Amino acid sequence: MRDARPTNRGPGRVLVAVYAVFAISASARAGIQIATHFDEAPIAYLLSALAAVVYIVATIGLARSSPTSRRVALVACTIELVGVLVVGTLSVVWPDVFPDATVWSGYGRGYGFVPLVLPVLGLLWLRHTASGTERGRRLGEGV
Amino acid sequence: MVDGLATVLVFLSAAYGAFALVMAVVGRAPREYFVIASAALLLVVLVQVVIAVVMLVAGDRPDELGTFVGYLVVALILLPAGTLWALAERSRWGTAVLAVACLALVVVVVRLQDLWSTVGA
Repeated sequence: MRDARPTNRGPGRVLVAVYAVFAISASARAGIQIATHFDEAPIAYLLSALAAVVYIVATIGLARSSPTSRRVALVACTIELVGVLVVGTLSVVWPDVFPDATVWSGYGRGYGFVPLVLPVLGLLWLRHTASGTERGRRLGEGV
Repeated sequence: MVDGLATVLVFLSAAYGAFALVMAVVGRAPREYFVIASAALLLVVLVQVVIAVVMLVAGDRPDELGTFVGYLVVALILLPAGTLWALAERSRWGTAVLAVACLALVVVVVRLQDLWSTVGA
């Protein structure tokens, strides 16, 4: 029996809500970009779609709060953090590659930098709610 | 869209969100009156959405029609989803969820106004 604390209670409730807002807005945005003018900036729009999927997975992972969904959320938040850092940097260094904005462009500047803060909060929250034994077990497995 | 109504909606949503935030800070769990407030605000949202849909059907077209319709749908979902998610958490964090939903609603309505401003332009 693992006794990690649920990720969907307390402050996690708010975290899931914010994730859900981003999941919905990123999916809607990516869907419209791809459906209406995919040719203009295919890379940016595919990244938008990837970001949307990652937000959806992270939202569900944090909201369900089973041992499996914890791991799913951990992976999603990590991808998200890497994504916002890489895409943010690329969009600043080579603006030509990203003629149209994604959620992660400019480190999420268009969204009040929430996309940059969110994965950090998600990862901290997952760590915070992991019980000592769970954390020890995962460290023991080298995960 | 009717600018006056949208402005009222932004104001009401911001006020409700600020109230929820204060209640969360002082440590109140969501209570029954939050459901009534959410429902009342949702009614205003509904009126705004119906008006927008009627104007769309009548032939008004914002430049980014798809995005506009997307925001209309999200505007309708935010309060019911946020309130349900908030009520299941009997602590200050449940109340904080309502503040998040209201802030998101403010952003959505402002974006709707933005998008609608291209009609007939």
